[in-house]
Amino acid sequence: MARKETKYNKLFNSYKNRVYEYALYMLKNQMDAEDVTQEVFIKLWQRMNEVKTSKLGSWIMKTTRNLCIDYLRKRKTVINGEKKILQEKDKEEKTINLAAQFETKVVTEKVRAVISDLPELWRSVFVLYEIQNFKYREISEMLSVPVNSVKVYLFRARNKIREEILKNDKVEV
Amino acid sequence: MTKLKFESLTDEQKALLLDYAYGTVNRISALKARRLVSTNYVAREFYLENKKIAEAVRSIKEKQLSEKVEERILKNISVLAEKEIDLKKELKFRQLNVGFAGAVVTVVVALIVALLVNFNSPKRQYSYSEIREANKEVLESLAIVARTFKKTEIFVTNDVVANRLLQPFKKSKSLVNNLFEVKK
Repeated sequence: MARKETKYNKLFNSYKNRVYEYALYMLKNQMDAEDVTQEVFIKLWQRMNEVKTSKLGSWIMKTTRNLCIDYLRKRKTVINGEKKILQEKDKEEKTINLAAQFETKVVTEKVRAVISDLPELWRSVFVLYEIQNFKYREISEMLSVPVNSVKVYLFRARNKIREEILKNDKVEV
Repeated sequence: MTKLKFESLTDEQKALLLDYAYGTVNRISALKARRLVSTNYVAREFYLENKKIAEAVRSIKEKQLSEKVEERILKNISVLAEKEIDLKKELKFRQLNVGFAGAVVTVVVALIVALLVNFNSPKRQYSYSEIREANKEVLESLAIVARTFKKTEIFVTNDVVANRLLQPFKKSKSLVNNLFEVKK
């Protein structure tokens, strides 16, 4: 039991923020992201002995993604509502902060917002690769898609982010 | 200064420039990208825009899970761990109990079966000839025993009593008598 706890604590410490951050990008809601994080780590405790040690990392992220998708399905209507509110809030902020729109902080926030609106698979790939620094092969395992598809999704995500940011800039100007 | 071209980019070139902007290219690809950027205005714009985005992405700080949530998760896990330990203990106890109960049941069943078998088996009825035969055998064996006793009696009287007891006694008696006579 002590060995299991040590192993668990190690995994918990190295994945807690990654899981939470990924869930946050997927769900765009802090409380949901915290709930998902908790569920993931409870599942990890229950299934730890059934999964190969070398695969535990990708298992954690895969489980996180599946739980996020479940949450999105369950709360589709709520999230749609939230999205509208956020978009309206965004528009308001854009008109107010026209002068400061080129500041790095604003760009970062914009990028963050655009990432959150990417299609699910592209978003997953982008967050896992660019923000959480996973490798192509690891992401391919986590999302159960071929490595080449991961590359394609990443390309599309990067392109989309640029397009969206340019589109927003044009609207503002 | 070389004049820049205005050529639209292919998907392959875009991918190359994106990788270059995000800093995920090898040296050869980086050289290709640099050449493209230095010759094509569209490529340069595309690269610069994405470079800015990549910098913004890199500046996104990792979101930290709050300590409260962390504590809550670890608390739940410790409860689960305790439950697991209790369950294991209970299972062991149950296994022991099952083993013990199994042994007791086996013994009781064996006893009952043995009793039933003995109780149900009918008492054997011996025929007249069998009884007569048995009596004859008993008489014969008694006769053998009597004969043996007789032989033993003869042996004891003739050999043991006469030779091993009476003779040494007589010898010692005469020796004592002789001694008394010499003293007188």
